[in-house]
Amino acid sequence: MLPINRSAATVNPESEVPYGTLDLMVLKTLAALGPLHGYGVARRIEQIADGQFLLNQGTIYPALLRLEQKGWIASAWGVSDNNRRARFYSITAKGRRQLAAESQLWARTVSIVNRLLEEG
Amino acid sequence: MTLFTHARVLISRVLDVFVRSRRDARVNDEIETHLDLLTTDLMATGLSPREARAAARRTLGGVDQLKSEYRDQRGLPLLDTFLQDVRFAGRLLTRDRGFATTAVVVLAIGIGVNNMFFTILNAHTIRGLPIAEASRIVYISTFDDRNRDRGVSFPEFLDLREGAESLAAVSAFSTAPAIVAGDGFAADRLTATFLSSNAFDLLGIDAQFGRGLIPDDDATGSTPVVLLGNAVWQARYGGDPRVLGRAILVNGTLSTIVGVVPDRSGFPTTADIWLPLRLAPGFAAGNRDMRNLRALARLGDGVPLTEAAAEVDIIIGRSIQSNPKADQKMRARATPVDQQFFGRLTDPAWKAFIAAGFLVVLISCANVANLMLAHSIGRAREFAIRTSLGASRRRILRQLLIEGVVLAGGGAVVGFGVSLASVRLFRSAIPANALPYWMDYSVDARVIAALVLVALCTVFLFALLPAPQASKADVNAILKEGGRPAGGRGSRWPTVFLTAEFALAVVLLSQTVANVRDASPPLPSDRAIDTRDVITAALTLPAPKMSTEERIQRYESVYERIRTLPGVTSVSMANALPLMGGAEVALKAVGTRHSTTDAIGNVRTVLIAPGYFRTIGIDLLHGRELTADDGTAASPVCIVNERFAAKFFPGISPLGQQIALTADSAAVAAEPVAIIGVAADIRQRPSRDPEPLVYVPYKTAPPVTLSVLLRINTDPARVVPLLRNAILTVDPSMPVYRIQAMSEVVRDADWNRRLSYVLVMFVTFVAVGLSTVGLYAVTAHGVSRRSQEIGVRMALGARSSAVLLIVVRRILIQLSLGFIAGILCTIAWQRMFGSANTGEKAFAAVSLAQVAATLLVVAAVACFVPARRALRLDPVAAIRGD
Repeated sequence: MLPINRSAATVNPESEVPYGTLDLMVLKTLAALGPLHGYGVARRIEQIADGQFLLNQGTIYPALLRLEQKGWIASAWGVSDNNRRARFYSITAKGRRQLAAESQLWARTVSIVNRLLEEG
Repeated sequence: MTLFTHARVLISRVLDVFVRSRRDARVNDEIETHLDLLTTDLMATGLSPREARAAARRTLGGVDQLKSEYRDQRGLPLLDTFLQDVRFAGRLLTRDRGFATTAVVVLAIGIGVNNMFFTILNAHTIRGLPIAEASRIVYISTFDDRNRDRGVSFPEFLDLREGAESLAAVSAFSTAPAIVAGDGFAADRLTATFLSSNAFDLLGIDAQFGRGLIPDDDATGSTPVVLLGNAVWQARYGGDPRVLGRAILVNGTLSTIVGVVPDRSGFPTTADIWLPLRLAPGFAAGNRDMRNLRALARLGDGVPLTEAAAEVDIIIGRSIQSNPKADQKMRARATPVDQQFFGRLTDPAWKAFIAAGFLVVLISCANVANLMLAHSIGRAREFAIRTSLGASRRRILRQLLIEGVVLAGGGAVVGFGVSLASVRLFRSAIPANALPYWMDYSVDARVIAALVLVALCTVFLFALLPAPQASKADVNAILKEGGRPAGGRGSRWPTVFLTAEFALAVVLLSQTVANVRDASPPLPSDRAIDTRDVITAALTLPAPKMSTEERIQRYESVYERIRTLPGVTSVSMANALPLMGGAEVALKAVGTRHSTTDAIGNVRTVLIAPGYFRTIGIDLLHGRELTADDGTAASPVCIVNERFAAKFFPGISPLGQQIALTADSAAVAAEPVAIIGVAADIRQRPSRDPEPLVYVPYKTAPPVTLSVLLRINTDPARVVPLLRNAILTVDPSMPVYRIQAMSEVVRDADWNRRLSYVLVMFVTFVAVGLSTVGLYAVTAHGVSRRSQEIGVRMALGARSSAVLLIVVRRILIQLSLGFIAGILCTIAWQRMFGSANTGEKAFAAVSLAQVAATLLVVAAVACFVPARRALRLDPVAAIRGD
């Protein structure tokens, strides 16, 4: 068996996208920027993260599908800036309601966790 | 997430299953676009196209992993893999077509026969009456201490209707034959039900045309009305809608037709027409002891059955007590209508029926389990390779299970066809009108559910039981051995299945042997009747109130007319044809024995006209036939059968002896009569054995209805119109009906016994057939597996007898084990179900010998072919052959 330097694999200071937050980020991105294709969504999230965490771009597609199945976003074929056929996703009214609800929940959760951390 | 969102996700996933290729195309497209866009962006940073493409792939992550993740998100992964497995199983089974076909056919027979049994059981015991809320309808009647139904009287019915607070509605009915005439068509005899006007409402029967009965019809003095069944409407009036308002004579009462009742509503069993209760023959509005009615009632809202039953018992009990002459042991009962009209599952006969149905499935499962095992031994190499490539044992088990599901599915579909066909065959063997209208053999949800359930159970038996054995493989050994499992290990299971199969076959065979001895038709005593060339017809006197002389005169005219018809060689008349029963009366005196109080015994009596024995073909052993003068006051005589002579005049000639029958029976006269002849025994009712019979000249007590018998020497089709005409010439209002060949009469009368017999034979045939196939398959498989060993032995000089012993030794052991197990099971069966349906012990030395002989034949047949193949093996080829 090959010896693997485990420490080498964990030196990267960038961390993965926190679990469960990708859906929220996708919803927010679509709400803010309007219809986007998967690549566009991935780029936007990477831009905002500014290298603070690593987005495996591939994971964006199962997330988009998940949201579509729930009826929070809709999709249609369209043409990208450089004339490629691409699937464009847009947020639905239901999605906006969900975004509002989850943003609130997120803010509450963060503030609670923060308070906990400060007191500790 | 809300429930709605969950549902949405599920629907979306389910829909995706059906558009698998479209969704795969979509994710491919999206990934391609993504890679292109990313590559373009990366090239803008100065990378070469190739580097950019590689970097893009890295950033996106594993494309295949992504696709599979995406796939998991879409569709239903579990269903997907399942369908994949099913497709794989389908491919495999198509490859092994012989195995698959055999398994499906064997399963189809087992499942099909079981489903046929269930359909019959369903119709007879489970289905219930086609009434809405049948559980709230009760049947009310009185029963004596011998549990015989004694009915209720009209005043008691009124008591119930007025007094019972637990009953929401009460209706009464009675059934009797009725003669219809006077409407310009030939007179006919139909079955009429007389009922209170609310009965159809209670039962949920509606007139399909016209109206039903209304309360006004119950009122004395209102115009009598009649409802026709659809069949009568069609047959008599050709479905003419102008029939409403038409007048027709029913039992001599002019009645108006007011409605037509749809088919399959022959309440209470097979009625043709319906009239108001007050028109019933023998209707006694004020007589508490005339219990010729039955009652149905609907329970009041929320009233439990026990409460209603208690109230009914009190109300009718009061009526019984009020008359000191009444049978004080009688009790009134209210039982759920389904329980009254349907057989009970707890009846030993039905329990045995159910058990037999399951035995067949078990036998077919044992068979297929063996096949599966043999088949999986052949596939040991495949499993070994899959295991060595990393397939878990669980995965292989799942594969075997799914193959089982596919086979059982095929078996269920084909089996359903078998069931439909055999039920139809069964139904067609039952004479028309022998079954009540609510006996329904059609497929319902229960039949389908039973089919699916049994099919699923078979999977467990034939696929899951042998699966651990099949999937347990020593990979190394198998691959080394060239694909054959090493040694005799694992060959114990076929033994178990085969033994079980034989045990089950023994149980069924023992039952059959007992049944066949009990019910084997044709019974020897039936050969006494020569039914060929005899036709019969029933006729009824239109006016019941004729005097005895008028009746005799009317019958004599008919007798004379038909005697001279062309093609007729001999005629007679009787009030009850063979197998159709006859009045049972008590004997008052026999020879020198007299009885004033107690009867000496009961005998069945048949009223006959001269020439009866000659016409029907029963041998007259001693004495003479009746003549025209017999039966008059000048010549009081009778003829008895052998059983009677043997029972009452053992050792002496009964000719000239005197007997006297009870006076209070209206059927025969009470004066002593002399025996002038002894006839051969026949079964006068569909019993097992003939019973003592007394033939009495009909003139002593001419009945309202008689059957004429004609022995003919020409085509019946030519005689029937002449016969009809001849009777109509005597009296146009005299209905002629039930025109049948004597052979049909005998066949129809015995249908139940005959059908049970055929059913038992059929099941046994299937069981033994399946066992033979199973035995053959296992022996053949054993020979082919051991051909190498046999080849070596033969090359080394083993004698054929030694080789034969190798092949059959195991089979003999299995057979013996199965036989012993089977006998134990038969004894258990006897304990559980008794022999109520057979009247004889299945477990008897004779039956065991017969069963053993049958199994020996089966084993010989099943072993012969493979054994011969073993003996003819070419040692060289066998040793080399791989």
